[in-house]
Amino acid sequence: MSDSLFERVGGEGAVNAAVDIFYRKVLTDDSISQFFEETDMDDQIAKQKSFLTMAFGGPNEYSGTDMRKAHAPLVEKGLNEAHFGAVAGHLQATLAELGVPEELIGEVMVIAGSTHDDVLGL
Amino acid sequence: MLKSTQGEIDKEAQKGLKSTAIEQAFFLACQQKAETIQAVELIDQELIFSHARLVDKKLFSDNICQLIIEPVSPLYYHAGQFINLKNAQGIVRSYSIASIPSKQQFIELHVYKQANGVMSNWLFKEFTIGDKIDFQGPIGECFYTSENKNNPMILIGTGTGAAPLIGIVRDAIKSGHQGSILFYHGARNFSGLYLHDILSKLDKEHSNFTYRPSISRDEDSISNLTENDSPIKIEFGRCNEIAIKEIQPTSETTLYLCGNPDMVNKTRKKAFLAGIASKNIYIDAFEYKDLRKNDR
Repeated sequence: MSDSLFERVGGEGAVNAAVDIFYRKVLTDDSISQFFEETDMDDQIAKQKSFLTMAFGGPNEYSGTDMRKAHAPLVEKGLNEAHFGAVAGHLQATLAELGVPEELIGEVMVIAGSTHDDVLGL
Repeated sequence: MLKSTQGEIDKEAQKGLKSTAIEQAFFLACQQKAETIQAVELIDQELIFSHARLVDKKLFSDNICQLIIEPVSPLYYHAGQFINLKNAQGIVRSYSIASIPSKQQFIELHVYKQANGVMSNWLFKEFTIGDKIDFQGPIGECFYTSENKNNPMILIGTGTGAAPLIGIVRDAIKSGHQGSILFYHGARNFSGLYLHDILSKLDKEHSNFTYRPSISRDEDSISNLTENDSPIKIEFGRCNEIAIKEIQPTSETTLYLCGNPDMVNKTRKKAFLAGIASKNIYIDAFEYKDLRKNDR
């Protein structure tokens, strides 16, 4: 039996390595940073870790309803398709920076993309 | 999260926790096998009140004083953690620990007299040597761990935010810290740099320790200082801004940040963006609020 996606991406070590790179990219992107201005860093990093674990195919308790609820105030502030795309782009760039093979990045992006409707409240 | 008091903690149960949480034997109960752990306690139990006695009190400046209290029973703590003091009127406030554990069992606290601060004014005026006081703690994860012994350390603090930081520095020096230690202390005026002599002395005595003082408002208070008053140059500006401009962190750098929440949160993000790993940033944000509104 082949290893799971989570194992092939690098497991928890990859999550820990990715979280700072990913979060830095998001915070320095002026087109989306306004959504993160008020957030607590510890909180955000914990959330990013669980999101990355989920996107990497790892053990998670992902719930679309929670995702929807958490992003609803941001949707009210104007969170849209373009912002979703920007964050997805940063995730992709983070994985590339960490040297994750392209086909695995593709698999991760499919899982990340599956949150689209819940994040944007569609 | 629970705290283990006896037995062995599984690696799995401490994954992802900060090193300071690991050092306090905290673990995630959901990941821990029952057969290896023998005794645990709820972390909240640390918040039960105990007693201490004031053994010494002196002024650092007009509105900052040093309190030395002695707990009635030995207290295990790390410099940089804080305790909550409760006076006879039931007012509770948090104060950081500036001392390192020693045989004497003394705890050093620095108190800033707030303009209308009920507790700080009480501590200044009413609280006298020999008096008893209730306290809870120690609490907090902002302290030194010797696993970072070879890494560079940066400390940034405003006002009495220097209290936990000098504790952390004392701990690092006592533990034989090998990496560089860079301490930025900021205040409004010169008298607010109340540890100037102590930190200048440490700077002179320890080649890996550098003290960088600054004041943000009253420039006149430093304009007449001679080389004798202050062999170390005092900058004019906000210490967090000076620090962020100067520091050249590596992925190994540990940052300790203490002071008002606004400064702490802004500086924390900037430091993170400057390259300090999120897990290596320890903060202690001073909130001036009545703790009685919270758990008691």
